[in-house]
Amino acid sequence: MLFLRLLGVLFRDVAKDLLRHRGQHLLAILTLASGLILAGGGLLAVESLDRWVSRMESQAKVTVFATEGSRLDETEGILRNDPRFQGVRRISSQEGTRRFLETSREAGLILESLGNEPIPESLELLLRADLMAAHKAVEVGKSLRKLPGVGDVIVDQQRLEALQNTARLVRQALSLLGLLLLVAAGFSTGNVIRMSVLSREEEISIMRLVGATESFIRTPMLVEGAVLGLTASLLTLMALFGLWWPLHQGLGGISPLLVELARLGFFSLKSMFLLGFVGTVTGALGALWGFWSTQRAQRKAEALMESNAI
Amino acid sequence: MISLTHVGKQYGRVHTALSDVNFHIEPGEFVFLTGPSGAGKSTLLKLLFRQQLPTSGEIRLAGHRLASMSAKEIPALRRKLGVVFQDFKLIHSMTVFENVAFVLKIMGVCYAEQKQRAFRSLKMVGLQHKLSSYPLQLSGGEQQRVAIARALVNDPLVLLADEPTGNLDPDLAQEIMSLFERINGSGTTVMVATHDRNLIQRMRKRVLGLDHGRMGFDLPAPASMVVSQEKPGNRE
Repeated sequence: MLFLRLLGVLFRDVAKDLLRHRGQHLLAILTLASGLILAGGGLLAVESLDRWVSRMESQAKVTVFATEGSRLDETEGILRNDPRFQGVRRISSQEGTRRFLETSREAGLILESLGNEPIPESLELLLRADLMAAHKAVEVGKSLRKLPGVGDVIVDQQRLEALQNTARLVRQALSLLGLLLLVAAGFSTGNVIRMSVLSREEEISIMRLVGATESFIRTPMLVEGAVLGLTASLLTLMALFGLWWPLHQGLGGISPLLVELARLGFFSLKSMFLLGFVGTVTGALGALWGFWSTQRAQRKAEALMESNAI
Repeated sequence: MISLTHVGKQYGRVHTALSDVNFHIEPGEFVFLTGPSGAGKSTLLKLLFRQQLPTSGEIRLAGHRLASMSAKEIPALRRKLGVVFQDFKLIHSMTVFENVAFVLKIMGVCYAEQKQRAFRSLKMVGLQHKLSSYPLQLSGGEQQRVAIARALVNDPLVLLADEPTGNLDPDLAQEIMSLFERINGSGTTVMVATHDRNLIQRMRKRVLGLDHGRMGFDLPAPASMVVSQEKPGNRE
């Protein structure tokens, strides 16, 4: 009961202080939010890229095309009994053609030049989970080429490998950049909060003179810093949502790739918590840094007074 | 209550603020500390509320050995004291009420009691109508009275005041001194640093005189006053 009362008093004091120094606190929130927007943007891009690659991976298949004018009845029979595949789907020449036409505006022109039914019928094979790795899938592809009536074999995993490598590089670069931005944002915010605490240096020294303990002064400041950080994180999430929404809606002739990435979704709950946590911790650490700075400054001033004062 | 033995305070290598100061103040005494500017009055008060450490000697106050106490013990010492600073040291972002009640808050007093005691303390200095004002909205004299109210609000064992009437007109200064006398009458040891000779003469209390950091004189209070101080009810 006493603990709850003290907690109530602490939060009331924090709320009062936040309101009392609202100008400085608004500046601190905006500084942290600007850093978090950049870092959060990077995080969102990495998350979207991961989702995109995962989707591609889940859709990856091996496609077996028939030689021109032949059919894949016999091959289908063999492959349906092949334990390496989870599923076999036959794609008629018409369906293959329709799909091809959907891929781009120029597809129609290309098809016209190739005559009637230029896309042969095919079989889409879904590999067993343990064979999904690119090198294993390529081996499977090689073995399929020897089957009767098979003209060409396309292994998506082989093409995906390049995409995965690129995505990995982009992810690493964005993660590093995000981390650097986060550290920079942390320092600048810590500094703004530190300035805010330093501007209250006299107030803090008076508190000490009338008998306040260090923890009595430090705790509300720590909570204030954390609240500022959390507020900045929420502001960041709202700002990023504001940027993501037009992309998701495909407004204003945005690049289709960006739209596709945006349509894979906003932050996951885990990432939102991560962003909130990072903001809160940054705010609290900034406040702690500021508090220690006032302690150091006061000690220096006292030492100076001891050596020079009259 | 307060005891100084061979206390010296040196700033740097050259300047000696206090040298071989010795005196003893009994619980419930009212003492003036006087001397010209630069005599060491403020330094002595700073040593007493442990803002500074003596270079030599020993200071005992309310059971604490000030020179050897750890930093963690300082808040506990300061909560037993009421200090009126020469420059008031009010927190400008807090209202008058908050400034006074803050001392009670750090002692863990509940809000209802804080309100009651802060109001009573402000009423004593005639500022009960300025509860919601901010220090910068007040005159110098009013700020000084807020500082006095803050020093009195926790019913201190010892009241230390550095030029508490410096910004007040003579009538108000007399009123504040009467207030200090009343506080002293309830057992609080009072030490007032001032160079206002008229005030010292009017009050007829023990006077410690500092001159160039040394004890110049220690004049006891007139006998009638000593007798009144020895009445029961004085606090240890």
